[in-house]
Amino acid sequence: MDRKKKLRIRLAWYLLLTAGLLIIMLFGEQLSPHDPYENNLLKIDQPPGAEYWFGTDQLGRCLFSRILTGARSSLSATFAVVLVTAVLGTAAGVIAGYYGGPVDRLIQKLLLIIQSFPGQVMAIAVAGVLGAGVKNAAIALVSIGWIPYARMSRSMVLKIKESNYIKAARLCGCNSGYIILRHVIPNIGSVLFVTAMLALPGTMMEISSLSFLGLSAKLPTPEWGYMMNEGRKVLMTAPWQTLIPGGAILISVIILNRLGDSVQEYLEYRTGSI
Amino acid sequence: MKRKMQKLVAQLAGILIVLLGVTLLSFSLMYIAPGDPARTILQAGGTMPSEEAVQEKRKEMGLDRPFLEQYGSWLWSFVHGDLGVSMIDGRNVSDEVTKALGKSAVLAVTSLAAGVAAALPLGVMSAARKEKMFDRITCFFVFIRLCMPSFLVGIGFLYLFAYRLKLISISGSGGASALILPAATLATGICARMIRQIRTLIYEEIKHPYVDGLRSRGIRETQILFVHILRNAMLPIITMIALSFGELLGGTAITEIIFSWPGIGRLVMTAIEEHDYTIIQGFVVVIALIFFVIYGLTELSYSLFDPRVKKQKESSRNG
Repeated sequence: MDRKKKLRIRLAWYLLLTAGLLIIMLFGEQLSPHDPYENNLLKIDQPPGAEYWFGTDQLGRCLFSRILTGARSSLSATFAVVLVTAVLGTAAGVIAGYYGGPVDRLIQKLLLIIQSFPGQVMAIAVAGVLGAGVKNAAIALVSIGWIPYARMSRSMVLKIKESNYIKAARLCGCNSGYIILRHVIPNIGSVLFVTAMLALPGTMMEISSLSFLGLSAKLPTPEWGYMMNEGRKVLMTAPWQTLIPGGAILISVIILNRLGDSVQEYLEYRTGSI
Repeated sequence: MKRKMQKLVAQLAGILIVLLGVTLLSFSLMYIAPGDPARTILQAGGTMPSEEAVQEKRKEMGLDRPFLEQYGSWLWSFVHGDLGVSMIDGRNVSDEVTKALGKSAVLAVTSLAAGVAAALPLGVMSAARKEKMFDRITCFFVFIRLCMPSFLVGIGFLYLFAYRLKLISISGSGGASALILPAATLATGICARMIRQIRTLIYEEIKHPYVDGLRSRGIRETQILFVHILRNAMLPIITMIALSFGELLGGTAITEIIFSWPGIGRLVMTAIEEHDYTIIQGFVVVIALIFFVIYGLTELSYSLFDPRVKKQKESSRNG
């Protein structure tokens, strides 16, 4: 089997698994066998069994249903944060690189300032001050996450700015907005796309860390990181309440990680180099 | 010479601007909080405060003054090593932060040392046996660890070693045994990241012709790997270590909470719960400054040790 076919099959396989994640994210609540919010004090802390596949939690809620329902807040926040950071960061980088001068210097300084804060410190501080909530956790992650996209797109724009096709477009009287959208973005898009794909697993881990700290999802919405935090108190007697959400996070991160790698390898192979 | 001086002045001015920005950003954290901080603090007690009480608290916190004036006086005392007092119980913020920072530093240094000590041989061996069994097994574990957020690893370790195998008691208050699990949690993370990078570095280094030269002179393979090749790859590894240390100081929060380690992360999480903004500000600004210094020093050492970097930078700036 040639390498291209191998890469293609692998990519398809991980795309399929990611599609599975997306289906759970979108329809998890409908797929749940039990009501994920329903307390049942007669059936608290039941170990995994035939009726409750993953057991129940301290309030007797079905853990399997809560995992399925919790996929929505855990995963959708991940995708949203990556999308917003990629768009914002690219916009900042392209503007800095294309226009140069004082705008560039301003954005560069801003990059240096925010870069001085280690990611987790900034995320915890911003999310903590803003108060618990998925939106605030997302804002915290976006506020630091745009940096790499801005740096990358800036340096790439600097490289292609002096190329002949940009000069030609300018000579033809195209305005800057048109040149950026039609000539600059398509040329740097694939690298940034790969960067975004590779950022997915890390973002997922950061979001679940924040919610583990109680800084993201609000009760009673199930969220995997927060479920682990709740289950932690009974780790000794009912370990499944912590270990199963942990497994859900681990599996999703592995799938997203492998997806990013296979996308990168496939595109690298197809274009020669990226 | 004159140009050099000008450049130095410009660089210093740049650093100053960044430092001002860092402190300004840390200070303004309190202002992105929804609602009035004074009211939030008073409400945290559980009762609805009267309008007079809120006004008084605002005055006490200095919130009635213009923003820049507040920032200026905060910065002035910060430069003098004073970060103000806690809004909740009046503890001295600088003392609290320094004390907790010391605890976190112990954790960070221990886990960094353990992580690096394990990563160096594993990474080098992995590169030497690329695609062989040893490499595959190492890479598998590295991959799994990199897919696990630290709270997952921490809880896993807690469950496995403290509850299941009962190897470590977690009831203890501090001491060396309390350090083992949190340090192991962080060390595995550093180790995994470093193995990956060391493996790539060493693999690139092995390809150089001087390695063949050493081999043909009959020098033992282990000596080639761990003395000659490792030495040539040391510079990026040192940078990695320095940056990991900075990251660790701020990134231990979750691990500290799981294992009740009284470090900087736990301090700030408690402060967040209590809306103790002065402590949050103090924590952020101190960590940011440490990180800034480490970052600057590593870049500096890079161009000091390897003159090629300096040239590259200059040419990329012109180009």
